[in-house]
Amino acid sequence: MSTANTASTGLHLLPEQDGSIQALAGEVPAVSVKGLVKFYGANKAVDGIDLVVKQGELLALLGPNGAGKTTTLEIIEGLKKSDAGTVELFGLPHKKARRLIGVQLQEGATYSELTCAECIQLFASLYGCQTDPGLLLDWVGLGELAKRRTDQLSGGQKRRFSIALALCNDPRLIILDEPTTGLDPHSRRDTWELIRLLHKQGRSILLTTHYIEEAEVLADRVVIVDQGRVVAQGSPIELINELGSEVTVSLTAPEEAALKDLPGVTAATFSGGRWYLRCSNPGEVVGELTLRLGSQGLKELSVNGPSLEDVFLVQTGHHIGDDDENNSGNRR
Amino acid sequence: MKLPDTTDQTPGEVSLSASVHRRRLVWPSACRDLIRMNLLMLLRNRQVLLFSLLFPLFVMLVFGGILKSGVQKVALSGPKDLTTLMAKFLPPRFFTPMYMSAAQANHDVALGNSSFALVVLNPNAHPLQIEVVENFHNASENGYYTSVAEAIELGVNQTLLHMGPAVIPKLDIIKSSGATVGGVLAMTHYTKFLTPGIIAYAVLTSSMLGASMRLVRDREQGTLRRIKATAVPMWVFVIGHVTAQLVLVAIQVAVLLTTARLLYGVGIGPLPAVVVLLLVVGSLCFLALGFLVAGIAKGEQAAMMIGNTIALPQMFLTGIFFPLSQAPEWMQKFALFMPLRYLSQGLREVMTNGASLADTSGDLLVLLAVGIAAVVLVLFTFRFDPLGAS
Repeated sequence: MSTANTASTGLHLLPEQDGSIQALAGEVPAVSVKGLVKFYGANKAVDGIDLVVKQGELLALLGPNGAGKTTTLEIIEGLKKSDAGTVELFGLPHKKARRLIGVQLQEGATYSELTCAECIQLFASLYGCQTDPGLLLDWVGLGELAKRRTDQLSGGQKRRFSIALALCNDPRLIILDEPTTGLDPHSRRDTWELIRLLHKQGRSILLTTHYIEEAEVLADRVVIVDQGRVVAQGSPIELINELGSEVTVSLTAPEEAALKDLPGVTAATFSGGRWYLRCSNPGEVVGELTLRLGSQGLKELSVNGPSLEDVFLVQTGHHIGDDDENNSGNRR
Repeated sequence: MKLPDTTDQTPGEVSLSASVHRRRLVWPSACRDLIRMNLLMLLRNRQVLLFSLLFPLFVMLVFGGILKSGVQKVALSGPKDLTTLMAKFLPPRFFTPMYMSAAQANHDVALGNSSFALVVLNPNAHPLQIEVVENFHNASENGYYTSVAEAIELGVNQTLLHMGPAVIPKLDIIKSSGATVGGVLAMTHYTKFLTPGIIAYAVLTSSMLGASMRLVRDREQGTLRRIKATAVPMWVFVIGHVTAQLVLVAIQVAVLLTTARLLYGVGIGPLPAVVVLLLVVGSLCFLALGFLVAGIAKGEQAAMMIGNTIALPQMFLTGIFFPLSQAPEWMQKFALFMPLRYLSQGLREVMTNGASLADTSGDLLVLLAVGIAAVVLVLFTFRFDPLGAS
């Protein structure tokens, strides 16, 4: 059986044979979630999440571990039942839209005894698709490993392979659960590049991450989730602008420097040997700092515009990174 | 990482899509590929091959050839025409007949020259009685000798029946002086007794142990969950798994039967279709048990432990290696609750004793009932999500 010969050509995002799918209007959102609630025992893992991914949009669900991101995805993917709320994919219930979505799960989720190519072929077949595994693996940069067994892939290769699996049915919507967690910086950038390409092709993408940079770099729109709730959403720039014009002045100085009473500083924190001063008048603050500390004391200083990190801090009252253990501890 | 340049040449042209072709229906191709890939996985899985092929083969060779190392002597005493007929039913590669008087035979066995003796007690009695003379130093082998003796008795009886009463009118029935004979023993060769049991056991291990361990591993790796997220209906997934396992069973049986045929001359019997039916129903029953074990077990280790707990007692207590009629009563009763008993008994009846479909319908019904009960429990216990995940 030669898959390559029978492969169709051209844009094939819509399977015209399937009546139910053909009926999709372009303006129907790829994902529409309303009032999602999920309990684990007495714990409310998801607490009334509303979510819309427009067609062609890349939406990042940003939040610390245990915020309910994965559970939300699993409900959207049809792997878990919600306790309340509705999910529609391209205006269809999940069952009818399954062929249109590509899913990447956090676990390896492959058959150990199969090679990469065989695994792609099998999973494509489970979507009713005939896929050329060689082309697809080439596409994610694993072309040379087509004949390697999936249990012999390295961690980064496994992750990339799981993205290939998510693409095996040429999906219109791709759902990625923490696609870069645990990757080294180089592989992370490669994966971002891959996701950007998929986005460029007009596919809708919904991904979760707890890396602020990832959301900032990739997403059209970010939905910040904390403790099972949506706390803020918008494009990264919108979210940052909402914070106002305040910037952060950070500098290396001893804790005793007592910088809280500087004029114009709305918040001052000291952590890791540095002072962080929030203000809307950085020029004056820097001038005052020079006066106070003198040229000897002021060795190094930087002024940063507001970032998503600040948005997260303002909206949730804590840092996303240092909150990992706290949050997961509370929840599990 | 090399990304193809073509992908961002012209916006709107999707090179990825060019390698994907959508079919109208999901399940026909999904079914075919699931079967194909599952079979591939089974044949690549060393554990599966070890449990389902090598181990049964090893057991058959060891037990079938246990006495092959040296040809043993059997002392036969009685009227010449009768003893030569008896000798015909001795497993030929294992035993040579020695003809002698009753006293000599006794002496020979006592000295260990002959493994055991068959002595016709009174040539004029009706029915005739033969005594199996065993050396009690060989306690471990005597059970086997007795079964050989019983096989001879049945063989002789069947021959006499066929010859009709005119040929040797005096010999109607031969009674062993020992314990009464169970109907199970209508055979002429130990491997003929052993082979159906080993096949039944092989089906049990591959269908129950093998399937449950693979299912648990795939579940814990998240593979089953990933499959659940695809567009394939769950019954297709089950069919893929089950069919591949049935093909594996066919391969197992082919290997074991070929070996048995080549080495011991054991055949499949006059009703191959009934043998196939028994094997299919039996493996479906054990597969259902395998899915059940997979649902209960938390991990691969647990699946192996639970599976072995179910499989090993059945191997030793359901008459795989020796006729249940020779087992203590508690074991016979115990065996009534073991599905393997019904598969091995059914196979043996059909392959060795020339039983018909009607004769084994009881065994088939028990296997079916166990299978259906297991399927019902599977519906409540089977999970696609890894137990580690919330």
